[in-house]
Formats: sequence, structure tokens, C-alpha cells
Amino acid sequence: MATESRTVLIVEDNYIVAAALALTFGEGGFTVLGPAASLDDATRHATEGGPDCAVLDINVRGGSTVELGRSLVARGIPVVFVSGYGEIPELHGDDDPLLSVPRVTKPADPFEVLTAVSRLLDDPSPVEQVP
Amino acid sequence: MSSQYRLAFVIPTIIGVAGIGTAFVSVSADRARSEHEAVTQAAETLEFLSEMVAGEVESAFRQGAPGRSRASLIRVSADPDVRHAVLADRAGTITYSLERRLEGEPLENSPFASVVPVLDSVMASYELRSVLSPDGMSLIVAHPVVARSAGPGSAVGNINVIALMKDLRPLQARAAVASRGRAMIVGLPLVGLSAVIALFFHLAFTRRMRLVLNQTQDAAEGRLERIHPLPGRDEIADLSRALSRMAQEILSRAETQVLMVSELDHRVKNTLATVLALTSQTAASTRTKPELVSVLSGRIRSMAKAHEALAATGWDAVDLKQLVDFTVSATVLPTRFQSRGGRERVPSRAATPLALVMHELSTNAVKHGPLGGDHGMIDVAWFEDASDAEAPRLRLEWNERDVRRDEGAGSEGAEITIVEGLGLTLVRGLVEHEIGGTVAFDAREGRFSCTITLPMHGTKEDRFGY
Repeated sequence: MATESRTVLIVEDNYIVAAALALTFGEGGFTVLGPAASLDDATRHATEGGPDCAVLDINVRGGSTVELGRSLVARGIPVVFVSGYGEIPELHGDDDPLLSVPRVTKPADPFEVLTAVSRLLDDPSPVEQVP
Repeated sequence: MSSQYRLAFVIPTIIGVAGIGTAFVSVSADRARSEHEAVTQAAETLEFLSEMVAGEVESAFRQGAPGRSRASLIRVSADPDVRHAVLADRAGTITYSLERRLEGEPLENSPFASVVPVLDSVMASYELRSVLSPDGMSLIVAHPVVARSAGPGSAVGNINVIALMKDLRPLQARAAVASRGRAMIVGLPLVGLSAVIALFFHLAFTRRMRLVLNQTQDAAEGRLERIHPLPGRDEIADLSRALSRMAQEILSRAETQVLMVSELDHRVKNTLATVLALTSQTAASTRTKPELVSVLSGRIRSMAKAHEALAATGWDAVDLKQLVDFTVSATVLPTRFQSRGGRERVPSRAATPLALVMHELSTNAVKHGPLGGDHGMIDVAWFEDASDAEAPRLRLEWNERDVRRDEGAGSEGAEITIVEGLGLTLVRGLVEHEIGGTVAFDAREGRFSCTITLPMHGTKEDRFGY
């Protein structure tokens, strides 16, 4: 990958967890968008900020980020879900592109999340590229 | 169980109805039998009589019957109930009463005695034979013997007939059929009635009890969603309704339980995530191990306070005053702070961040504010700020003061500068990021204050509803 700073959108409504994620990604050389605590904020950042990748807590203030994740994946932006839920809810059947999206279960080690995101950026094959 | 229950209804019903039916049938059979016997007796008597008459006529005929001439058949009326045998001639009717004969009156005293001589002379002129007519009448046919019309018998020379009797065999058969028919007429409806009653019991009780029993089995085996109340207003329907209500109650409780377990699971994971993140951040912001332990355990304890308050309300919502008092009194003596405000409920998701905020402000007051000395005081107050009608907010004010200064006895407090260390950064982040409110710190006149506004929406019960 290029050495220029990549932008990560962090969506996490738990401030302390969000702050830890932001710190870790900052130290990992990322420019952090957010962290966004609500679905509205997250959607605005995703539209205006042009993130290279995203870390999404599924259950945030204002709703679920599953649809946002689906639209990011459709735009070819790698996504990692962080959630207390075992499964991603609202899946569209067995061929939902979100099935190949990595999930990190809470409580998540920020470095684990960083590793998952970096792996996706280096090898985006698990994510279907839709122009 | 169910079949025994059904039999308990059906068997007595069938036995009862069958008993009534048997009584009717036997009474009617008795009557039919006696009728049949009477008819048979009459028939036998008639047969005897007819044989006797025929015999007498025939013997009379044999005595003087000279041969045959043309035959003619004249039918003579007979009493329909076949109680009479009739002899007749063209001039009049001579009747012999069978009934009298039956009474055992000697032949000599009966009217028949007087008939015998006439018969003798009559029969002398006739050739007789017995014919069975198509309608079951047994006729004795006389063929006049014209040649012998002379003499004293001339008066009867014109007599063409003779006797008639009814063949009772068809009647006997009809009587037998009728007695069987009567038994059928009485018996069959009763059997039908018993079937109808059994069916009624089956539909009204047995079948419905079986349905309720099945529902109970469904309940016992956990198929609660299959239990629907039976229609009706009887006890069985009441039982079914109660069963259905029980099933609904269990289902809804189970659903609540699942939701609560899932919510608790989520909460535990979130709490652990918070603790982990808090640990690393606290570690980065403290200098010594004892300080790390002290600060971190204080923060975790405030989360425990929030949890305690939430658990007490079933993870629904907590009273704001309770939350404030709980968390502040963990750090500050109860005599050193006052809290007041309207009754507000904090939704579960805001409880933990708010508890942490109260904890951070408290430790900040002890560490950097007047609470470090002996005369510090904290006032916490909250009220609804409706200045913006579109977005009502709950305003919470945290004020620290030094009692000596208020009394004018103490020295003027030095001006203070607010340094947003990790503590105040947490306060700001928790309120702004996690609850969606605002935070303002102020240090005018050497008094630290913090004004927090929290978004209020929804009902009174759920003021900060997310």
C-alpha cells in the first residue's frame, strides 16, 4: 500500500472504547474520521469524509450500522464490524456480501481491530469490489 | 384418561337408552304376541269350523249328490273380522256365530243345530269344493245339482252357495310383520336417540375435554404457541381460556427473559470493553502504580454503582438523584454535597456514562478543588431547560465552593485554571459523544463549575431516550 495516511471511519458510541480505538488507529498511522457515536454522524462522515476503510459498531445511537456497512462494501470500502452480537443481524440471505466482512467481538482489543483493518487494506480480496 | 372420560358418559347413556328401548320393545312384543296368538287361535278355530262345515256339507252332499252340472260361484259376504262363518241362500242369510261356538256351547244348543237339517237338504243339491281366491279368501264353492230340485228341498234348490271363510294366513303373517314393525318403530328411534345423545355428549364434553387435554399436553411439552382458547361459555371453555392465558404469560415471560439475557450479554461485553479501554487510558495518564490502581478502581467502582442502580430497576432506567448521590458519595462525604432537582429518569444506556461523569467531577473536586480542604462544598442541581421548545434539554449544574469564602471569613481563593486532564476529557467525551449532550467548564471567581445539558425527548419516563 501507499505510505500516505489512510483515513478510517470509526463508529462507536461508547466514548471510552471509541477513544481507545481512535488512539490506536492514530498511532497506527491512520487519520481518524469521527469517532461517530450516532448513525446520522456515521452516515455524514461516510458520505463527506471519503474514508478508505471503516470500523463499525453495529448497535449505535440512532440505529444499526448494517445498512451503512453494506453501502460502504458496495463502494469497495473495506469494513470491519465490532459488535457484542455473535452474528450480523439483518443479513440478506446466504449470498449477502456482508457475510465476508470480518467481525471482531466485543470486548475487542484495539490492536486486533487495527490488524483486521490493515489486513483488509493489504489484501482486499475478502471484500467484493463493486464499482 | 380421555377415553375413560368419554366412556363414563357414553356407556351409561347407551345403557339407559337401551334399557328404555328394551322395555318399550318388550311391552310392544307382548302385545304383538298376544294379538298374534289371538289371530292364530281364531284361524285355527275357523279352520276347524270350516272343515266341520265342509265336512257336514260334504257328507250331506255325498249322501245324495247325484253328479255334476254347471258350476257357478257366488260370493257371500263375510264379516271382515272373520269372526263369523256365513251360510246363505238367495232368500236370506243364515249366520253361524263362530264366537258362540268358541265358547264351547254344545252343537245341539247352537243355532247351527237348526241349520244342520237345512244344510242337509241344501247340500244335497250341491257339489262342493274349496277354492282359494286371489285375495286370500277361502271359498267353498257349491255347484247346484239341478236334477235334484224336486221334493221338499225345492225351497232351497235355488241356494247357490255356501260358506266362506277368510284365509288367515296372510293376516297371521301381517300380524307377525306388524309386531316386528312395531318393535322396530319403537326400538329404532330409541337406538337413534341414544346415538344422538352419545354424539351430543361426545361433541359437548368428551371432544372438548380431549382438546383441552391436548392443550395441557402441549403446555407440558412446551408447545405453548399452539394453545388457543376454545370457543364457548362453559367450564371447559373457561379451563381452555385459563390454559391459553397461562401459555401466553409463559411465552411473554420467556421472551422477556431472552431479551434480558441478550441485553445483559451485550451490557457485560460493553462493560468489559469499557473497562479494558479505561485501563489502558488510565495507565497512560497516571505516573505510579498506586495512582493507577487508585484512579482505575475509582472509575470501575462508579461503573459498579451505575450497574447496581440499574440492576435494582431491572435494567430499565434509574432515578437521576439516586445515581448522582450514589456516585458522588463514593468519593465525597455526604455532608459535603447537596443534590436537588426534579424527578428524572435516566435511561439505562446513559446511566453508566453519567455515573462516570459524576465520579470524574467528584475526584476532580477532591484533587484540584475545594473538597481537598475541610471547607469545600459541592452543589448539584438539575432542571428542565425549555428555552428551546424544539429541543428541550435537561440542565445539570455542578458547582464547587468554599464555605469559608461564602461566610467572608476565609481568604480569597486564588484564581484557578482548568486543565483538562484525562478526567475532564472523559467528562466531555462521555457527555458529548456518548449521551449527545454539551459540557461547559467554568472557573470564574475561583469557583469551578460544570454545566451539562442532556437532550430530552420522548416521554417523562424516558427523557433521554435514544
